[in-house]
Amino acid sequence: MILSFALLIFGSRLTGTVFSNIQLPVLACPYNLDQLTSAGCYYFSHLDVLFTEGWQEILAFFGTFIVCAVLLGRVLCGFICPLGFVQDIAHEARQALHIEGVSLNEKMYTVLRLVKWIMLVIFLGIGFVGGNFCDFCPAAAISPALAGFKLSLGLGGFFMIIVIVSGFFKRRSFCNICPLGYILGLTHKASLFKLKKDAVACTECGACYEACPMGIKSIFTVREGKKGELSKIDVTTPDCIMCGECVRRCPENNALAITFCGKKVYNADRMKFMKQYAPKPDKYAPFLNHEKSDKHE
Amino acid sequence: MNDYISRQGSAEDRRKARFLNKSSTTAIKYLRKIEDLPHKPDALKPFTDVLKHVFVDMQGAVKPQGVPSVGTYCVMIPPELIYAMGAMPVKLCGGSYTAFNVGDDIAPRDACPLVKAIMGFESIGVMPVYQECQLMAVPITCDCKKKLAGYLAERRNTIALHVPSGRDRDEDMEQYVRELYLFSQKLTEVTDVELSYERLSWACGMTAAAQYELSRFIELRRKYPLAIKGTHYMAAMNAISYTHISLWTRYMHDLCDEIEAKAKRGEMASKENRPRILITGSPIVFPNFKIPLLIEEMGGALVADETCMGERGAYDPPAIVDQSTDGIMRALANKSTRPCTCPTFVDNKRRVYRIMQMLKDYRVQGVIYHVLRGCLVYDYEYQVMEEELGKLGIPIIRIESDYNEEDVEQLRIRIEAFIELIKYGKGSSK
Ligand code: SF4
Ligand code: SF4
Ligand code: SF4
Ligand code: SF4
Ligand code: SF4
Repeated sequence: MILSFALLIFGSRLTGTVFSNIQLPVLACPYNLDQLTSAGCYYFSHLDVLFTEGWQEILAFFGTFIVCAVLLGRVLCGFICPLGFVQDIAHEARQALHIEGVSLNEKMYTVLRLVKWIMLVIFLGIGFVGGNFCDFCPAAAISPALAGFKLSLGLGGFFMIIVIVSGFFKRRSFCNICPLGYILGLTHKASLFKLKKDAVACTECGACYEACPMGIKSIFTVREGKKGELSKIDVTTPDCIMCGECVRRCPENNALAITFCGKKVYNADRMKFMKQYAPKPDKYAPFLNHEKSDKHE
Repeated sequence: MNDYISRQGSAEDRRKARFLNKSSTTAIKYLRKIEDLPHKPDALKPFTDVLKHVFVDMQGAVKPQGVPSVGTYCVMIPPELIYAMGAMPVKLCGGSYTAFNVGDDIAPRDACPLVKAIMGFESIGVMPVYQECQLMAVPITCDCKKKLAGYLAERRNTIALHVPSGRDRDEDMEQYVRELYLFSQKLTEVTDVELSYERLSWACGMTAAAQYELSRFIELRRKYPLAIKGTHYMAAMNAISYTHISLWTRYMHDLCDEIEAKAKRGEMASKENRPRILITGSPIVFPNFKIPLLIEEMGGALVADETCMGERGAYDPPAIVDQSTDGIMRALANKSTRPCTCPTFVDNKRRVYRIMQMLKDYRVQGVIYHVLRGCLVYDYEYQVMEEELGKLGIPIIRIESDYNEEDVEQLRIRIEAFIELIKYGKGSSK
């Protein structure tokens, strides 16, 4: 993640090249001329411009998009998008400070979903009515700014502050309304990365739902697959950014797994889960003495 | 008049002395039976010592000095919260035949014996583990527990926690989070400790250590189902109710080490050909150990238990995804209700699944479904289990029992027949 962040923000400065033909569909603003590849968001938000380009350009654009979507899908969101990374940093900052966050419930996620649809329409349509998404895109404010280009403190900067602040209190809040990520997610059926669940191993503890920054409840509630299967149920949804948080927080062996081409690449494991929390055996002793522990704090 | 009072008093005293006498006799008897089972690991001793300390020597819970006890029932009260507030939870679901006899006169005939035993303890008022509790926390689960909460509230400092009856809706969980906050206020009244992130995370670290050891144990047992006798394991799990978690963790650590070493050497606690049995159903609370004991005495290997004073009592860990006070409280509410396999919830698919998973993990060949007389919620679930296990071709029987020793012979016959069925029926079913 840090690597991709570096590459997408300072990429060309580090490697000295630009793969300008590849346009990763993430919100890494192409106004930043330093990045390794440019981002696909420009053409998505300027479909009118795209349609005036030559057919090679159109083909290359959709070609890379499809290849990216199939190969990686929203793994791009989880691990590559710089805007996602910025939000993750905000979230980690709050974790370190132990400040109360905002926990959303289903109702609020429904509202966010509505906002996302509105964003999507604006994102795709604004070019046709003469507007420019980039004018208020938060990525446009941060991506070039970090690389040392102009600091645009226009509407985009304003939104960027909102993104960081809301990302601080609610993990990846912008991703919940990000139109580009959603377009990418729509192709999840074709993507090689999948989130799989074993309903019998699952205790329905809800930890995955609590952990999911996108508020995807179905990973927790699904009890059997569409064909009645109990294991290897595909629980990927368009909203899933493949961040793997649910797998990390799942305490049951094999209940959740991220698969690539059907092979498990990341698997829920009880011992690993416990190790995140438990102190080492030689540290058990201090717990006994309450006086001591009070001083520890 | 004075004379009358003193005679009265002494009659009462005699009753109490008789009670203590009788309960310790029963406890000694069952402890001996547990200890007499062959292949007892040496590291089991601290656990049985705890049971002895509480039920034979009639002492309070095993804990560092000056830590107040909070009585809890069921598995929905998160121990983490109580430890965080500077107290120690003591699980008081009763298994005493003697207390049951006292409670029998108080509770209605059809109430379950577990609740009768608790009421018996309360009314006779002599058991130190029970008496020393400064607060009783009763989750409202089944009807018996609901009435128990009312009964206790008239006599003791009591708080009832309203457990949601369903778990899929977000509101259900949020409601339980609120209950836990109320509970924490009540705890502050007892201990003068305020709820804080530091305290909570300290306590969660402590219980996580225990759950780490328990998970280690479970992994071991999944690998070698016969490495320890189920009765021994259940005794260790029962002991957690009366032991400060930091002590229990160490005991468990040693037990794991011993079992691991033995298993690696190929020393098992049961012979390979013994039918592997899982027990589930109503709680099995010391000293009411007759069923697990019978299973192993009659030649079965008790490889797994899915009961609330057994493994389930400490099984589900909180997944703290947000490092803040509220984050931990949510994690605690979540883990106390959502994964719980207690049949008092409306939906219980997860109970079926959990057992199916255990059948696989421990290579179980038969299921004994224990129903305490009057325990309706578990009895309801039997039908569901029977149907599901029928599909898998795993035999199951329903065994009903009460808190007395009159039914032991009859239970013995049924359990023996069941074990025979697995042993000899195996060839034909495969
Ligand atoms: S959803 Fe988030 S991570 Fe994905 S493209 Fe949008 S901002 Fe980036
Ligand atoms: S975290 Fe794992 S066990 Fe818990 S509900 Fe999710 S998938 Fe099931
Ligand atoms: S479902 Fe899992 S991988 Fe997908 S967004 Fe939620 S936590 Fe991340
Ligand atoms: S089964 Fe449920 S209601 Fe019954 S004692 Fe256990 S936790 Fe309580
Ligand atoms: S679940 Fe059964 S045993 Fe437990 S208190 Fe209720 S009726 Fe009694």
